[in-house]
Amino acid sequence: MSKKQVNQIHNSINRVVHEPVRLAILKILTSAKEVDFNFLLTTLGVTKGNLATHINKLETTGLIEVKKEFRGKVPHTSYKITKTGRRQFQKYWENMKALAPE
Amino acid sequence: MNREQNNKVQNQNAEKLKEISKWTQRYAENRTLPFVINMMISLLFGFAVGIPSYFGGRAYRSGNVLQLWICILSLMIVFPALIFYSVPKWGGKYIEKLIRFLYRKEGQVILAIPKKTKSQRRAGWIAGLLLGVCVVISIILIVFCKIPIKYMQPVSALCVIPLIIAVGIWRPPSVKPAGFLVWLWPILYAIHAILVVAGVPIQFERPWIFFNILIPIAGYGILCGLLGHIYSRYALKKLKGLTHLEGEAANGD
Repeated sequence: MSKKQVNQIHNSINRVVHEPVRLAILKILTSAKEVDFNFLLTTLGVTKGNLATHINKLETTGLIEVKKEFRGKVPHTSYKITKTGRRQFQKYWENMKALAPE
Repeated sequence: MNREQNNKVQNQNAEKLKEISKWTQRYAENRTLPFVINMMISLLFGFAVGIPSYFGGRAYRSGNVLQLWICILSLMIVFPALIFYSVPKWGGKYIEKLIRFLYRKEGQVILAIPKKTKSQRRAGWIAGLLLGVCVVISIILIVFCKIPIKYMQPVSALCVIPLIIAVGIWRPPSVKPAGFLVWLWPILYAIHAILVVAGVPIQFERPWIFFNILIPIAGYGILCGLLGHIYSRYALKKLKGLTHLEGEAANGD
């Protein structure tokens, strides 16, 4: 692969997806139909604030869908990957595979 | 970070990402506490119906009116409780709350129900058909062949095993995942039936003869559920290790 092609792929990498925590969130969401905040908090081992910021970023870019509801008196937030999110993740994955050395 | 280091990190991440899917699914499938709780409640109801029924019958035959009324009153409490537990809108709501409480720290993960392949659908139909045939055979055995009561469990195995297999293959949305270890359940039940037929003394004697079906069904179910739960702890530990990807910014920017 030429240097130009490599640079092209590098430039087309979605920086929102590329961040490790967000990448892990998206990967979990691609494997499940729906997960909640506590599940992500447990598996990712980040702080609540940090996770909330990452989720906000993913939500504002339209990669994930947030569902807020009340279960009795307790608020419950769950997340789903959107079609765009799935597409972007797939694209990111393909780019990474293309960049991987033979 | 130079390009070589960067490539190494990306490769490590790619490997981890591949594994995340696998362990998320394994963890979600093996969250078997709802299954264990439901089996335990079913077992309790089995005792709550079986014991007063037996002693009530004995009291009726011996003319012990007080004992008979105590048994009738117990059943009058147990039956509405059983109906309440069986209706998802009533008892199911409380079970759901209990399960949420137990998993409150781990949170919730719902798996998408995958579309069944042609061979899976065919296997489901075969298991369903097998269940029908086995039910007919067991009825014939009970009604016409006068099978001794000690062979109740092996005869019940004819229905229970295909039923578990059919439910496992079809897995309707109302059935919560019970993990791959649930397949151990019909195997253990079948082994139990074979041992009974072989004459191994693993049966309850009178007056507890009605436990011969209840305890193996619920007992092996609970055992498999607990094994599934232990496996889910392992899957979660694995998943926690995999989600720590290497890379540049790890903040919310």
